[in-house]
Amino acid sequence: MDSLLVRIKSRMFIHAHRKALHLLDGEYGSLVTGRSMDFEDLRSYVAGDEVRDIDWKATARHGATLVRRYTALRRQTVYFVLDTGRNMAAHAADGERKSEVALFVVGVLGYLAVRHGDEVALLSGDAERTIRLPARSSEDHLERVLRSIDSAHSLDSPLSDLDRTLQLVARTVRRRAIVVVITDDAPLGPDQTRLVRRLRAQHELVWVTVGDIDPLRLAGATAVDDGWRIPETLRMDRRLTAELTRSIEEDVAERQTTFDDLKVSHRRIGRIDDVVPSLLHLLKARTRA
Amino acid sequence: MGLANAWILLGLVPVVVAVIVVPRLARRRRSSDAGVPVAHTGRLTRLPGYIAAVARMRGLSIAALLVVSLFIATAALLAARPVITSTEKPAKFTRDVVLCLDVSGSMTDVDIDVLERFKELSEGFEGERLALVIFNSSAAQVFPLTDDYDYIAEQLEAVRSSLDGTGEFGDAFGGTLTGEGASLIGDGLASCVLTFDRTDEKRSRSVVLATDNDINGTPIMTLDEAGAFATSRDVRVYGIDPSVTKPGDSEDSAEFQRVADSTGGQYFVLESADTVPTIVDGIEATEAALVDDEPKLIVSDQPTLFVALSIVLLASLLVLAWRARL
Repeated sequence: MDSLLVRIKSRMFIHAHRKALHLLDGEYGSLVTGRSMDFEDLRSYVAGDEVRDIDWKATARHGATLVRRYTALRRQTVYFVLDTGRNMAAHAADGERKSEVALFVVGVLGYLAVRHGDEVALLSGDAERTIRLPARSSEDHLERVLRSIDSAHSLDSPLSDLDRTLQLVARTVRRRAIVVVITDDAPLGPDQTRLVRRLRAQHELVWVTVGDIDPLRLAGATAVDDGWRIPETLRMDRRLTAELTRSIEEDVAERQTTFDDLKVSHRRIGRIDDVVPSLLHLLKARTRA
Repeated sequence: MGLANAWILLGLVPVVVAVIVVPRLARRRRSSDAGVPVAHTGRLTRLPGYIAAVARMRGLSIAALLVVSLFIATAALLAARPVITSTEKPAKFTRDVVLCLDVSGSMTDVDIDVLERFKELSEGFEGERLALVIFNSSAAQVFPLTDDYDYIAEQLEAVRSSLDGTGEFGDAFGGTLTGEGASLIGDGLASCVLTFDRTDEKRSRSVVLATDNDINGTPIMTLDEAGAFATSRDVRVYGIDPSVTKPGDSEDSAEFQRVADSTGGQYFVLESADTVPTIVDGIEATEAALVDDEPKLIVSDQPTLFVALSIVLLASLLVLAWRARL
């Protein structure tokens, strides 16, 4: 079997001509360290400090010699929190499987994290299972993460239950980490909003939504949760399709507003080709926040 | 209206079961290999327009189901062959009557009455065939057995008019005087019996013989011989005799009566010219009674209504199926 990571990397390099990859690299760095670090980590010069570490501009402003403290050695942990339930085996907004899009998101972000020396951990689950992989910083480990996600996603998987996984994260991940939640268009109720707020307080929260396909877009659509085959007649019903399209657009906009209000970085991705540009956009928006 | 193959309706039950159950099973089987798996169908089902759309769909489906059931029922009825059964007396259609008229001078009035009455009767005929043979010293066929009643009426009228002197002479007597003598009844009757065709078919055959049995000359066949010949051909002879007022008054009439009876027919004496219609009606009634006892069941298919109905149903079914994308 091909290495999943190799496949993801090759896809990433397809995007290289859009000058996205190296940009991603840079933007990821800022995600790890944050903009405010420079000022917080300045301290007075003490004997023995490297001269090249002196922040000359700050020293000029301050009057006393200030040294920039490096945080490079601080290892971040990136938790990938996924839904491995049946819902993720359904189609994404543009016809690919949502699980494939999600896998690609994990692959790209995980690869960036590993390249920065950060650790990658997996905490995913559904109504019945919990899949947990410890934090490690190696491409082999990332490959393991990808494979366990890939094998968990199937149409025969248990039903989706993201709340359960999110609560598990809130309860068990003590150390501050970067939590990347990858879900589908599951609606956010008040309970979920509360949970997101709590996670945001605990961790650096990045939320990636893999957009769901319009249920009336393709013929032969079957609901993954109960096997309901959507009748062809409904698909031909112009009034209904128009209403559904409008309603989905409203939902998407509302979702973005919800995350904006919660100050959580969020991006909705409909297909694999959009992953790299969307992640770039996501990370960039974060640095400005 | 009845059904010729009603058992097909019983066969309909498995067909209906197959039509209703098999697609259901097939659908169940199909649902396992989900075509396009989609999640969060709640986004669709919670729409207010969804209820209306489902109601529309359900209406169409019910209508389609109704039309399908009606169509199957109609097709089954059609397959069961809707028929109309009627009892007919087919003997009517296999009945041949030969009018055998003696056209010697003494018989003219009686002949006219017989022809008049048969002309009237022929209007009510349905399937019977009629022939007219006239004879004097020889027999001549005016028209052979036919069921062309217009032609019969025309011919009867022509002969009648020439008998009462208003028409042409030849029509009544042409060919009847080629032999020697007059009123050769045995020859006349034998000729009349020979008029019957389709001897291999089982038909009701009767001769209405109007004569005074006043032989003048030497016939080839005597009346007895002719009667035996008629019996051998299964022909009944109905005699009308104007020469006497009571059966058996003369030797001639007694012979006539005997011959008529021996063929299974009847013998009537003519008391006055007015009684001819009565006698003819009597002959008709007797003949009818003879053949009446075997009514036959006539079965005729009546598919028109159901064919039209099934075409209409099929058309509306196609429209519905297209609308409902069934």
